[in-house]
Amino acid sequence: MNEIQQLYQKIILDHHKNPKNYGTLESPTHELEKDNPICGDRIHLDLKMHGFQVEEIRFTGMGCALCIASASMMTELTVQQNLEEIEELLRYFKEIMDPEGMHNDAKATYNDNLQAFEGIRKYPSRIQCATLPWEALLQVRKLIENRGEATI
Amino acid sequence: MKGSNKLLLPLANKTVIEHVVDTIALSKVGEIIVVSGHQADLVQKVLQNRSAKIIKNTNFHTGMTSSIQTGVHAVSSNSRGILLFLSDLVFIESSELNDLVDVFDSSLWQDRKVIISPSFQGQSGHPVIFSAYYRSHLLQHQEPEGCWGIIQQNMDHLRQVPMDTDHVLQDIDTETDYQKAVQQFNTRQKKCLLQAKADFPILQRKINGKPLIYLDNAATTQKPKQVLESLISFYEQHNSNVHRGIYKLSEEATSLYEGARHKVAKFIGAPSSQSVVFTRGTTESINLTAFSWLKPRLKKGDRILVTEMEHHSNLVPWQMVARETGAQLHYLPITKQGTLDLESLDALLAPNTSILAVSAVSNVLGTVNPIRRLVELAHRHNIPVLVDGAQAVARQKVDVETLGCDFFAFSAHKMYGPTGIGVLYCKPQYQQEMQPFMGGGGMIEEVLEQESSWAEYPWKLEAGTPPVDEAVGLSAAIDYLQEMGLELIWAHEQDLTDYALQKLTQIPGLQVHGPLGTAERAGVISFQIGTIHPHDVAQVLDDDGIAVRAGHHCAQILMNRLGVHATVRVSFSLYNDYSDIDLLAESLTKALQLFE
Ligand SMILES: Cc1ncc(COP(=O)(O)O)c(C=O)c1O
Repeated sequence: MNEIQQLYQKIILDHHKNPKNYGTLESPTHELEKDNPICGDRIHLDLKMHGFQVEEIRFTGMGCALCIASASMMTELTVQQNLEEIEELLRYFKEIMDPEGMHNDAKATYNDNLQAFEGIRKYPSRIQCATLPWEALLQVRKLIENRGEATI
Repeated sequence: MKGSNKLLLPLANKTVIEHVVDTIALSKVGEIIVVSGHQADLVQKVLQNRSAKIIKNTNFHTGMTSSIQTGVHAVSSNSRGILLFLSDLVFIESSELNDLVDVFDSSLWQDRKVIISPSFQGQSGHPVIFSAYYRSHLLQHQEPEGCWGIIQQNMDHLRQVPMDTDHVLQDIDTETDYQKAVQQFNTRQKKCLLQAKADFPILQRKINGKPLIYLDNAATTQKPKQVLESLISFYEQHNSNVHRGIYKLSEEATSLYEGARHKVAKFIGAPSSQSVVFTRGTTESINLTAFSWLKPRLKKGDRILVTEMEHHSNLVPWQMVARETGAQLHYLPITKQGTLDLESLDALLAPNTSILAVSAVSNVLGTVNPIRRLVELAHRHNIPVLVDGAQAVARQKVDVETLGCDFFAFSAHKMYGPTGIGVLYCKPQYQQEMQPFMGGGGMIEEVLEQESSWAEYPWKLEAGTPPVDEAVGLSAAIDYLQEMGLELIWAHEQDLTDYALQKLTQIPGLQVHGPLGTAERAGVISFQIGTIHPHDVAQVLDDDGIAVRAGHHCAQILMNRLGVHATVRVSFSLYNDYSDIDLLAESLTKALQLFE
């Protein structure tokens, strides 16, 4: 596999072509959006939260293959997870993509599709394409805390 | 040939006398003395930036000998020899001169009376080198048409040097000679252009093991070794601050810096060097106009007219002064074809429009805007025009007086020069109205405790140590562009663009933005392929060593107008060729297979 095939692994291309949970929710508890000002990419999320836990999630948006695949995988990995767990997952995800990251240990704990993103380590400027959907999602913590919903 | 001055006839990119002086300057020959009779002032003007000494011979009508004697008089007394170069020997190359000088030098220590003459297939030609011994002979001999007599009387000392080409026999005596020369020089120049890749060291680089194919020239062009060498030579030979020191180096640096201003003025057809302000780039030139010139005269409700295809640097500065003054931006729309919608223009040229700011060539669509026409229409309503020439200067011959524009801005780094320097041309009538927006050294006349007075325009706008090496590099870049010939460059880019449009539109799902029909278009092409994101396309191309741009290209208003977030953009320059485009098309097909 050359570098470009490593970057665009089959599983990433599959998620890009047929993204999971693409669309909107009837009555979301939260709607979130985030842009990447550098390339104009934009991810929109509809969430149904229970306290700090994600019950349902859908996304729409405009982005490159890495961004869309990451969003698609994220929707699969975050259902029924609470924000702390999701934050932990993002840390792990970033480690996979970090050019200097020690992702081998992390590999042992999780066994999921995110590892397909390790090809990004050769292209650090693309990391933000992959993290955009996650950062969009994690904005929800502030909304919840500001509204005092955390007591639910 | 009667009636025209041979010295001033054009051959490709230069006049006859410029070719001749440049050839000699590149050889081992020391000082150059040009003796001119007829139209001496014009000759002087043409040679202004060259290190030749120009001497007027008022007796030129008495024959060639009077010119030779005028020149020999001026040769410094310690020179080893005197090389007589007829001004129409345009074919001789510097290396051939060097061969003659080498033979002369190696003969001189055996025979101090040596005379060197080149020959081709037994026929003797020019130029002839006399040892310094003949100085007095040359000054005294009587034949009106040359110094053949001196040679004949000293045949024992004559050394014929057989040459490989007939350059030493060819001069320009008839119209046919001249036409032949024109053809040969055009061919020679075209060949230079086709071999231009070799001038750019960075193009030797490998990316992912493949040769770099650089197609992001609208962002910045690569630099030829001539420009790189000019920078090294500046720092190795002349580095010092300008306009300050009373010592040799500072005088040299000052003259290089001001020489660059002069060269820029000539390059864009400005009426004088003083109409050229050096800035950091197009962006600063536009900001300077917005803040130093426009802002003080803007009133609430005034309009600033821009177009939908402007680069952010020709929008944001205007928005800033508009916000401060209560003025408003208005947009000249573009048509579906990506050209300016001139039909809407008249209505937009409202009486309270303070300026029209428009780019000469779009950095996204490649559209070449009809600047002359726009200026004419705007001027009818007394509206001044700023032209953003960032994408134009390296592609088309620009003449600000013909365009008629009031301000013209560009950057050196998009025309094969260094980053960090740009130019603002301002029409003389507005120069006194420009107030400095930066204070500091170099821009003052006198500094008192509470206030100061400004230096003359343009220096009053150049506070602080200016970009000296950048100016030297810009000057070398202009030389390079002129050496290659802007007309040829334009033609070459048109060929590449036609070819690329043909190739690209054959790729399934590829949609080109901007003019496709007969409208003028420069070598900038933006496109989408199906629904593949431009970043993904650029990434796959990069894997093949092909550098293109993906994104909004600092033109978000235009992106909105086109209904896209981003595009892939390829942009050509003089060193690109057909094979670059073939590789581009191949790699795009690969991207298509990967993502679709
Ligand atoms: C049309 C146009 N205007 C202005 C600019 C800005 O030039 P610079 O960044 O050199 O100031 C550019 C370059 O990107 C351009 O293409």
